[in-house]
Amino acid sequence: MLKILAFVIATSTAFQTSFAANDSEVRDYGEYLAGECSACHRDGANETIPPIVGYEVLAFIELMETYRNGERQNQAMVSVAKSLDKEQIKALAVYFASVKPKEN
Amino acid sequence: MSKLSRRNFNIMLGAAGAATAASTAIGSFAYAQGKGKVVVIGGGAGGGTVAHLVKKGAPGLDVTLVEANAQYTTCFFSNLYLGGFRSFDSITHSYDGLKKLGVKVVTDYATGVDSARKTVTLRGGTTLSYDKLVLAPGIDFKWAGIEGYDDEAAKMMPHAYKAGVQTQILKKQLEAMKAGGTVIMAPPTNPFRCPPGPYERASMIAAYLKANKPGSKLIIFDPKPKFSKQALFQEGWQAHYQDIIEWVPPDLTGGGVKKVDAKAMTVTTGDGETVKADVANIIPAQRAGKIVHVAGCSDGDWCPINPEDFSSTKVKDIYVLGDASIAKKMPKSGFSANSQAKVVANSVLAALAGKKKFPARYRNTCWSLISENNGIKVGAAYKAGADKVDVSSKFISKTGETEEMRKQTFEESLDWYTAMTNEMFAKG
Repeated sequence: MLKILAFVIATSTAFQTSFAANDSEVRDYGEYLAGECSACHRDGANETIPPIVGYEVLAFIELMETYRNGERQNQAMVSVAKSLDKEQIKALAVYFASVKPKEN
Repeated sequence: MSKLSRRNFNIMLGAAGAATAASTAIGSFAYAQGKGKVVVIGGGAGGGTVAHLVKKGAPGLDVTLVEANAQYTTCFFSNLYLGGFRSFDSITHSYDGLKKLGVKVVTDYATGVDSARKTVTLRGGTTLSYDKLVLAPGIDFKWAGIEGYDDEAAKMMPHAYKAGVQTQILKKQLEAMKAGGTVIMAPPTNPFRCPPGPYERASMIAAYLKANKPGSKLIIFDPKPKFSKQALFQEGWQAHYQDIIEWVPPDLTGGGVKKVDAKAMTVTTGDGETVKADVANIIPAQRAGKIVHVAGCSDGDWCPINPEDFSSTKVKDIYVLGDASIAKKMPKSGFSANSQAKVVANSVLAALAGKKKFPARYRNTCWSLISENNGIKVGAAYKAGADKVDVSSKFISKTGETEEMRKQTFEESLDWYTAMTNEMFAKG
């Protein structure tokens, strides 16, 4: 738990300090990185693989941390989460928070 | 979520919301820019995705997709159709979504590339000019590897390794076969499209035989001593198809099938043994689709690329992705092609629409179905090395997994299929 908090706080601090300066760049980077997610995740209704858009920023960051720390164990997601650094997770969080889920 | 992180999160929400509104306005202005012509050849996992993402990223760009088939049947999941777990319609897709987005979809076959004039000629007589050309033609077959096997013989002994009519021929032959019959399968030599594909196919054919043709056999004359996800497949075959599947390694046959007689329905192995088949699925060795060779992009059978964006190392302003490219450890799969397409689209948008070019990231996951609700997967993340695509991490299903885990893996693959084809064809 402490590890998660440390990660969330560190990430959110980085997020606050860098966000104002290059907000659109962060989102654009997130949109690019999200290409790796959208091979499997959709915007709207799914059955096994959950929709990925519409997460609030820190909820997304914390969720990714649960794959990094072993709390969640889906092999594909563990591989994705471990391949991303904090800046990248932040960019993804900002991007996904900006997209509205589709109702389908 | 913990109380503390929820509080943090609420504080952040306002900032993120405001920033998002601002960035969307700036972003869409930048996206609308873009002038130039992009021609994409091949409307599969690589080409369809590039056409979609380039047009979506910069609607001002003129994007043309050239694809020989008016409707596209995916090779991935075509084994599930053979096994009776998926309908043919459900793996066949139209280009309506891409057309609606503004992509010009031309049903034709590209026959020539003039890289000096930057034009593509089509069989129908059309000439298309381009600023950036994306080649995603998939595979062609090297017919010479098996004596007696060619395009004509494939009508009687289908390869079914380009999905569509060929897949339907194989399915019909299996349905028409008598109980107690013999199916012979010849997997290809390396490298080939979808490394687990032939072995998932063996599993699916066996599932069909088990349910519908009691007493039948499936003999696999493999030219390779080992194959993708071997321990997982063999564990599954032992559990479900022990009396049906016989996998024969090359040292027992003199290297697998070397000759066929399609009229007599016989195959002959390297050590001279001739076997009669009721159904024969012969998958020849492969090379990149013809157009890359015409365009001068190939070095031997496949195309060398720059690992940072899959641009051709040989011809300027051309990208080669998917099965046709040399991506080293990254397998030739629909997932790989879709992943590469995202990096290619970013590179094209950077060149023609002023968008920022980000560092390449690649990923692949291949799911396979062994028996009903018994799915396995293998996957990896990749990065652009100095001169080739390198593996950064990998994973694979384990032997002895619970039924519940296997069912979940299979169900994941169903969602992946929908998401993947939505991206390829701009659906949903």
